[in-house]
Amino acid sequence: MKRVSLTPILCAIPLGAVAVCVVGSQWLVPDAKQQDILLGVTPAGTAGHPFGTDQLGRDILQLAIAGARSAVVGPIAIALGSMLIGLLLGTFAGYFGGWVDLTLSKYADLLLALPTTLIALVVAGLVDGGYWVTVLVLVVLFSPTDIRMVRGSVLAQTTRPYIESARVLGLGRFRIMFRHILPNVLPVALATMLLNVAFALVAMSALSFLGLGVGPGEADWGRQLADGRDLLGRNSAAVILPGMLIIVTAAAINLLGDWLQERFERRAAQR
Amino acid sequence: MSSASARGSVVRFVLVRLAATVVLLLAVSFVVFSLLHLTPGDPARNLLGPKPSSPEILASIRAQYHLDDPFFSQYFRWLGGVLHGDFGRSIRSDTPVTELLADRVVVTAQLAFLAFAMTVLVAVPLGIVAAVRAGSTIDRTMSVGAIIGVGAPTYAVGLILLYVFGVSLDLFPVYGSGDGGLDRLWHLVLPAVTLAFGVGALVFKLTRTAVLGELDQDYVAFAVSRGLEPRRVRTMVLRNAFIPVITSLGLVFGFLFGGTILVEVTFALQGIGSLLASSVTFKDIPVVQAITLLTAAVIALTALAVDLIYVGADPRVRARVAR
Amino acid sequence: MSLQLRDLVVTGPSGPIVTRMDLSVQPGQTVALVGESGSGKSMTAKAMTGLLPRGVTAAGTLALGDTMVDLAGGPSALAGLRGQRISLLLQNPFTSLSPVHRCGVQIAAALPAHLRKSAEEVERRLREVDLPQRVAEQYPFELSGGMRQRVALAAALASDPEVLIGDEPTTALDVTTQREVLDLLERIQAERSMALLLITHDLGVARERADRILVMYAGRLMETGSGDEVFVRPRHPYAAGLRDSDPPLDRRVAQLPALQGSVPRPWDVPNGCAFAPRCSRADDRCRTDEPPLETFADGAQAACWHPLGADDQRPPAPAAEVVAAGAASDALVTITGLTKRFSDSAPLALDDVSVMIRAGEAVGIVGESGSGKTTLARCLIGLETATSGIIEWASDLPPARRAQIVFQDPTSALNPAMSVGAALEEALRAGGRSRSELGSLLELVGLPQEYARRRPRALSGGEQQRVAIARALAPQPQLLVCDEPVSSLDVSVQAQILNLLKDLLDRLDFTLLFITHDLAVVRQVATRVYVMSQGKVVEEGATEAILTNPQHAYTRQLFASVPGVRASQGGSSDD
Repeated sequence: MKRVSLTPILCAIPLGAVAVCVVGSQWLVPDAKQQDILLGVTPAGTAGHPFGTDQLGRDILQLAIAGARSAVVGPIAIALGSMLIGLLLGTFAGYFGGWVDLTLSKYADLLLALPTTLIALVVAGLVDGGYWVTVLVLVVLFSPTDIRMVRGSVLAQTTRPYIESARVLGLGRFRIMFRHILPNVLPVALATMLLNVAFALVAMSALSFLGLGVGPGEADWGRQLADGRDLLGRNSAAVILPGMLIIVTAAAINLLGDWLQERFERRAAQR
Repeated sequence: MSSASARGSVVRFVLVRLAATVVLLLAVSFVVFSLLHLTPGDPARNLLGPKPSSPEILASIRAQYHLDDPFFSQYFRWLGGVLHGDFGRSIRSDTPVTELLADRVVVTAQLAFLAFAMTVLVAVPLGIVAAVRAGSTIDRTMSVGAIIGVGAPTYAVGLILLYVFGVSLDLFPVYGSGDGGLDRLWHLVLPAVTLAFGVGALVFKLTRTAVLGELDQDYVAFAVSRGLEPRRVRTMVLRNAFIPVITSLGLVFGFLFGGTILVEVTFALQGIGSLLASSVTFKDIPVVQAITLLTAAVIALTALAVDLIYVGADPRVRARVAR
Repeated sequence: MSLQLRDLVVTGPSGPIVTRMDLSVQPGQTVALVGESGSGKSMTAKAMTGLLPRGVTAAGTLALGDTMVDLAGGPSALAGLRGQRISLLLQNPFTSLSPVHRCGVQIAAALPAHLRKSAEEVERRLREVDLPQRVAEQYPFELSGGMRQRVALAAALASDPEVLIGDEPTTALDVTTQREVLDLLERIQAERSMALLLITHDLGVARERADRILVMYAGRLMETGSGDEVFVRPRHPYAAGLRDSDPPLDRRVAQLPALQGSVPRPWDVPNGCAFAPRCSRADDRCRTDEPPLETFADGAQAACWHPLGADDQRPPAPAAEVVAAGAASDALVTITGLTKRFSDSAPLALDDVSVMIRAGEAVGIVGESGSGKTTLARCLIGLETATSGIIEWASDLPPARRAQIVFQDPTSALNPAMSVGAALEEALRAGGRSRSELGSLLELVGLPQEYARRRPRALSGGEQQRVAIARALAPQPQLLVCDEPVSSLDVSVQAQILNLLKDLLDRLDFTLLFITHDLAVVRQVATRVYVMSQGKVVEEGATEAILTNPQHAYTRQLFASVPGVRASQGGSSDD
């Protein structure tokens, strides 16, 4: 008697919609950044502007659809990049131990001594590098937790009898690492990566909310929130729409990642 | 092992742990000092800010900040100042950084402690309830809520709360830090709720996991089978779960300080978080250095406190330390 | 007052776990509930104490004297009984006490209300389980496993129950400690004239300690009777098979008369008799109708359509002639003065150990936990580096061809991400053999060809251990090291694996180093043994000689502690 889980289906709906916006925004809303300064702020429900417009007369809905791309692409790149570093360095640290392990864990300690938001703000802000530099900074900031996660699960593997059997068979270190250890770490890594996308989404939009990462005038949810902050009394939709988009997208990814993680853990427990 | 030598070992542990904290802070201070030189552009020009520059002015700045000295002697000179509470002068406002911070630190500390208190008073009990009722509708609703809460960005939650309670219902002030006393508290309620929302969700999850893990232990089944009253069994479980919960509360404290930046900007509070955000944009490097180092110190001291509580709370750790 | 359990049914999410279970225990009586894994014996104990896991429900009645409880009412229905009149002792002394509370506090918690603050009472309770007063102020982690189990016993007895249920209470302990705790239980039971329900997988413990034995299989009661009735004149073919599978301590037999197949999960049992698929006497009726529990003239009961009569009793397997293979051959490996120190504060794991193994021999190493036997194996195989000493191999083959190892836990011995075929092919290649030999390798360990495609998860424990043996033999090593290869298997499966190893020794040309805590098991396999204790070899010689006439005091104590052997010499002592 298997219970069909609703979680992945419920999460797939908003995520699918976001994916459509990411891929097709230039066809769906080609004029999203079109300004109409004479029009200025209009409340939600204005003809032709269901969610109203902002100070520059830009349509809130169109801007939000166009903003999906920068909100999502960077975080995916961050999660992928940091997990790649995590898998590489974490496997090495876990399997070889010694000074490699020590160096990597001290590096992680140092980065974890300060909140991610603060370091990202300071580094990205002082360097002024724009979107992809911010992405790079966040990859570096996210990687210590991934390295730790991978290192932990590799370490848990190395003392298992099947790994010891492989060593007794005289298999090479790289064969053991990639053929025996990595396949058992990957499911957990995948779930962690998904959770990282959600955290990166929040972190990226937080930085653009603070005016970093995305240039002024660009379509981006965090930027839109920052701009809409002053419009609360006149067109609250300018805040509520991008705010809800970030919350719903992050929540859907988190729920999906949590669901995956639980499934993998349960399967591991059944072994 | 005599109790005197055990006490000696604990003292030694505290000293070693303290030394490790100092080393960590020195490493952070080094990186923080390097910010001045890592920032693109001429350090002297960066220190001058947008004021009109001339070769003479730049030369006087170089002399004032000893920029032509070797890197390490600059660092130690700066560190010496820092240890005496001197972080230099703000580029933007041309006042001593320490003076600038003094006003604002209070707001941030009040915000952080208020949010922390809300977290401890609400999230921990809810986590315990959810674990005891694991699998029930209450548990599942709260758990899904927590997953959403953990991921929900502070500023988006803040703006929506601001809209609902500040603008629509007009129950709370919208901007600013108030005039001290009760008015200050009144102004800090919404920001603190915002901050506690995400952090609380995290603490809820960690508490629930910790209590659930303890409830699954054999000693609980054994206690129940011996006919101990449910109240006594619960006390036993909570005493055991206390150890991981304290650890998570320590972790969360750092998280909280990251969150204050966004909350202060969202609610236009005059704290060190919003000061940091504007100083970064303005490249007011001395201020950025001071705030970064201050935050690192608070977090490192929290971690130290957690470790010490740990030693007190877990006899197994105490024995390992005393050995 | 007697404890009566009637019509117990336990149902889990996948189906029934226990069906139609009755049992009764009288004051002062010991009843043993024996069965292999999945027999439902533990669930029976949990149902009686209201500790069933989430999603598992019970039905039936539990009566203690005049008090009757409907088990369908859940844990709250048991309120007046559980803890006050019925108490439970769990298997693992390392997890059954709260790690952050002092032992005295944990004992006091269940004392009658007016005694809870009394330090003298706690001291009296500690004395009852032969523990000194200082234990009251100690934390569980500061005590040995045996001492912890005594604290747990004192805690379980704090409310002075009329019935004590012991759920494998000595399984996690070493054999000498096990005997001490069992002796203590017996003494306290007699002093308090308490009813004791002992749940165990160990037939020796059941036979030695119980007045009455209940045999469970797949959630059903198969046979009940006294020790002699169940083990000397079993009525049920399963009880007979179980007895025959248990290796004898007093002699070596050629092959253990093992039961075929493995224990089914209770909800996978077909119609009819649950044991029919593994039974040689089964006919059509057995496969369609479930036999009721019949009572025989002597009071024993069995649920079987074709119970074994006096003429059907198989004579015990005769002692086989021991051929000391390899006794005259040259040394394969010589270990001299091996010492291993893991940390400065810990005692030496190996202390000047010298062992010599001749080509073609089957050598056993016997010892309790902490004896260093596993460390010795790991040093020999290269998984651990000795602190000092010499391991000298006669051949200069690559290490993989010299020695391979089979571990204790078959589940973690195989990579869950690799199919059986892929794992074995890799091992064949590592030994320079062709992948085409996969088929014959599977056949060698008695597995069908189609198992190559299966994942380890889809295999039973016994099958997993067969794969692990095949993988170790794939590179055709000179020495096969088996580290407790059968101790986590059910009795019936353990016999199959022991038979397989004996069979492989006859058919193939390899040397065996067999490490175990179990004297009966080592007698079946090894021709020569080393007895280890606290990192040292204390005795060495031919298995027959040592197990017939042990010389060293430790060996004698070990021998005397084996459940089922009430030895007059040596004996148990309380520390």
